[in-house]
Amino acid sequence: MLELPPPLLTLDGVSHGPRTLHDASLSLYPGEVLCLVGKSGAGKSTLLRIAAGLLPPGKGRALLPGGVSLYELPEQVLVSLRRRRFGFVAQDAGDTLDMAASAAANIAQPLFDNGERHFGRALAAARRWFAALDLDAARLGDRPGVFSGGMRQRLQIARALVHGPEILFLDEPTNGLDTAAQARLLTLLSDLQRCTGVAMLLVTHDLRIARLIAHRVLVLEAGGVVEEAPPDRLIADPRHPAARDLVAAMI
Amino acid sequence: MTETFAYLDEDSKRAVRRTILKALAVPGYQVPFIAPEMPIAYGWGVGGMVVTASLLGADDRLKVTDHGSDETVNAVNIRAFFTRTAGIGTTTRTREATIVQVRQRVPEAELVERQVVVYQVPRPDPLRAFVDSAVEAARMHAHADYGRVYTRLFEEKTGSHGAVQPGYDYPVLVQGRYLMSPSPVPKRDNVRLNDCPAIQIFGAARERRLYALPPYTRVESIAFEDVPFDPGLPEDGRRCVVCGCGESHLDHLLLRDDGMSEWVCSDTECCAERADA
Repeated sequence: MLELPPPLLTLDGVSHGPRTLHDASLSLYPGEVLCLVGKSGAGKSTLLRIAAGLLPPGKGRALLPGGVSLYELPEQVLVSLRRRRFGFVAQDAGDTLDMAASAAANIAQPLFDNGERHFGRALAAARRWFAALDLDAARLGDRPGVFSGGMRQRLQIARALVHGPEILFLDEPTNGLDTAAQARLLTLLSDLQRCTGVAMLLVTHDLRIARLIAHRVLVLEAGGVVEEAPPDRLIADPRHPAARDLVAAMI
Repeated sequence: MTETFAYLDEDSKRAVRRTILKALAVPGYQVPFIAPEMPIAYGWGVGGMVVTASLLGADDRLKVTDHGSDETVNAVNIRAFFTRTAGIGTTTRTREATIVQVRQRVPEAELVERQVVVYQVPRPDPLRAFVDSAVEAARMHAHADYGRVYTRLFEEKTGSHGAVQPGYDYPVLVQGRYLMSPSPVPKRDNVRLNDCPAIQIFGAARERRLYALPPYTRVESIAFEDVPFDPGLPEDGRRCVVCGCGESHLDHLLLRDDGMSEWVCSDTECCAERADA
């Protein structure tokens, strides 16, 4: 029987607020793409933020390998761990990008936050990620405000991956993009995942995105996890009414 | 009613001296500071005056400069104030002074162990350029979380918008630990803060913060490992019209009738010595 490696991150019965999230659990394995799907208000983003070390749960625990409880770590250890081992891509690029700094500085900031003090290495990393994400190297010095929505999302992804995190958290990364830009971004994420082996926890309300990129899907409804399945099985045979609604919405 | 020595009451002076001792014990750390009132408005040099008042003794000789000059209104009035309230002697020669109160410059003359240099500081925390919250800035100092300072330096070298770090008040790292504002001195003055034999005390009354450098403290301007700090050399061809020096920090002071600029040394003491030589 195939033995799974220990999970990189486990959420064990987490709850938040009176209704937002209750008793939700998940495990994220190395190299896995796990999608959280559900309609608006289902608790997807809250669960993502708890997993990313950004929002302490009211109840339950977030566990790292070795049984380390994320939210029982001293604040500075948590901040440092988050900076080294996690990357975060928000729905709105303005939430993570510094609009007053150049694209290169935005990409390099996680390196400096993690103690990099070498200009040449930081610049080389920014250039490398610019090229990897198909951005024009001549625009390294431009500020994010002059980039298109899709390019800003790619900038966010570069910033989230530049320091080589173990887990990339993505909160509806294709939100607001046209269909072509969505497809390009998902292909890029798929390729990056294969190249870097980074585990991804991705929030979306669109099962088509989950089908393109996920290894496993969790369906959330009214703050709880109601179904878990590989995307193809979920689409072919949704068992919970919430999952059936999502499948119906694909057509 | 009789005035107390050097204007401040003894309790206030004692409180400030305790703060100074704490600041000297943790070089570069911003210590909360009572900043008692002086007869000028906060933001006009009260921090420097309070520190000077708390340190002055009857045998001290005080030198005060503003932008390097002994002759500005600020310098002349502060000297006159302490002459009147403490009866102490003043001087314009650094080597004769026991306390040198300055604003906007580090003295160009050599400093020695028995001296104290007092800086007037408008904005004591370099991190407040990045975060609005004083609490968050204090947390960042506590954890030496200085990545953003390097990001700004990186931005300056890679962005399309030119210099974002001004040529003055260029942040320094004290003993490899605390990020510190050198006060708004030109960044080429930063090198003179390092390994200085004199005690250096920085008072920011409006912001209620005081920090200090004990003698021979290691002070390094923020720089990348592979791109050394650039102190900003004087521009070619500019010379002081009084002493002819092209190496000192020059002030753009005079406009001639023909519209051309002229330059004079900002440090009037050193300029006068060069002119007399």
